[in-house]
Amino acid sequence: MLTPPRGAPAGAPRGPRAGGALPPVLRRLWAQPGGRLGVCLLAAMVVVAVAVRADPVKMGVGAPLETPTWTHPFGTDEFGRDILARTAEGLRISLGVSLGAVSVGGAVGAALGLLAGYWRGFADIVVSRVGDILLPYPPILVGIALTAILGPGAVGVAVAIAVVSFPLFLRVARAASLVERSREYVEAARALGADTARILGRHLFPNVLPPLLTQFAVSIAYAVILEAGLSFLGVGVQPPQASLGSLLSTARTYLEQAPAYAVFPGVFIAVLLLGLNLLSDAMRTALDPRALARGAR
Amino acid sequence: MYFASRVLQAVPTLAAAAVLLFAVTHLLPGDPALVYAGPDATPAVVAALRQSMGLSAPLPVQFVRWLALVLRGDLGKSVISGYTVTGLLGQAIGPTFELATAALLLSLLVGGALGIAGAIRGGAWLRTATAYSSLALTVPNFWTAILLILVFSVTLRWLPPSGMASLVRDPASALALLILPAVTLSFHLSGVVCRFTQGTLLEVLREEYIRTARAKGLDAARTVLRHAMPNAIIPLITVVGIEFGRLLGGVVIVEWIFAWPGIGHLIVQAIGNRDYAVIQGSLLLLTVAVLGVNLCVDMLYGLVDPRIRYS
Repeated sequence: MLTPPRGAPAGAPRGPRAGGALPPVLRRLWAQPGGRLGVCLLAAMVVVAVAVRADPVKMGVGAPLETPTWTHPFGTDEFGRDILARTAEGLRISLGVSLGAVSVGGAVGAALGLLAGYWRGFADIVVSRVGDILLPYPPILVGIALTAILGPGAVGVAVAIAVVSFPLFLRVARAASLVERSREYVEAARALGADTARILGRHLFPNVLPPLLTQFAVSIAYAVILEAGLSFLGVGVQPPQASLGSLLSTARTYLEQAPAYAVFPGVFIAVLLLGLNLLSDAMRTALDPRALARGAR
Repeated sequence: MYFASRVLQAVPTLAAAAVLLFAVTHLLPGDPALVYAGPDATPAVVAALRQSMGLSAPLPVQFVRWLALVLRGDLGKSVISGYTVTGLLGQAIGPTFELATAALLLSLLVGGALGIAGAIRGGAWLRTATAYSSLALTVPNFWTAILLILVFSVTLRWLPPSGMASLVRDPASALALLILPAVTLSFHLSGVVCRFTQGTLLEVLREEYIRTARAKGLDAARTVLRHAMPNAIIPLITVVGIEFGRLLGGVVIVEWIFAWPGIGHLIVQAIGNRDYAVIQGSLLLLTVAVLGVNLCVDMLYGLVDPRIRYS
């Protein structure tokens, strides 16, 4: 028997409820080797970001450009600052800026996409066109232009990330909303007298959430690359604060004297991105509606 | 009809780019005239500059004036060197074209070969191709560049770490200097090409006409080259076209790291000098290039697959 999607109106045959569908999704995520590895890698990064509390800007904690030792596992930079502490700070900034900016850009994009797909007509044409206009620009160029306007720093980077994420969420939400709006459960809700806000919030949104969550993981990965790239070019996070990108940019000058300086922050970016890519791939499989239907049977 | 509508669709995107780039110089915090005049200018000089730059006119008027100048090819002057931006871009476009073309060819060659090998041979080849594409899609280009310099320039001392030479006057040095930036720039795209070729080819190879071709007694090479590849190549064109835009974005970082005197290098130098006319002009050129490539891909797609033109 076909089960109605989550958020089905009262009176329809009972299917999995909004809250009840979450544990099976997590189980399916964990069941995949890629999903497990992705979660573990990201957890490791979060642990480093939270647990390493040494002062990242304190100079002279070791000799300048020291090779890795037990006291300073990643060595020290040109001012004798601990590279592990600076890498951890870079991770905190990278994750904080990326999560915050993608959440804002994504929420706006998803809300507009949802409305455009549901209403169609003129609103849809206008909103889709705005998204299409923003989509083709390489993110790094948008970032350079925006940081030129807003001035270098984390704020400019966050705005750039939000602007770049917005059309991606818009497109995903609109496509999903277009499919869902003509399904029976939406018609049933409308026939029962539910208003637009209730249909969108209670019925459509839970059903377009899976592709949006996958897009969220993908966009966080893009955001991490963009933040690091802009900081690498000197228009992102400004010294004395550390970013994974600015650490690599400075390390480039000392490749002969301190190769470890360039290796460790790079490994952290790569592990972070690998974790996010594995997680988004696994989420795509775990949140596949066909897999959901099979699991609910 | 299809081609005309594609061209028309590119117009609002280009217009949005023009507005954004206009904003780069005209919505700067503070007075653009102050930025142009420099920190040592007297108030009288700044006021004269404000007048000559037309900054007292309303913003829409300023935008139209700026657009008219841009359309005539006048992008202003660099405040640092005094050269025209058009002249600077003219010098930088050749190196960027050389690097981007080399990277595109390299990624098609490496990614295509690995993808085909993975799809046809399966087993260890498939695992190698999958691992390669996962790695290429994960590692950001600035770290690839640093690792390549660390291994091939600093440790092994096989290749020079930065610079550029003329392909005509000194081909040996030019090639040696081209290898590291081209490999760095092509790495991500080669991963995309590899994953995509492999995926599409695996799908196409399951089609019935492939089974027919095999049943007729065609050898594996001919089946793949004559029957499978032409059908796998259509979606690949779109992906490569879209990704080429990303590659042009990547040029900025890669050129800066390898001191490659192209448009990317020009932008980063201009950022350091707060040379807004140069930033604006370079971004405009790269944006037009990206949109142009997207448009060409759309056209090509319509030519290769007539169904798209009529849908």
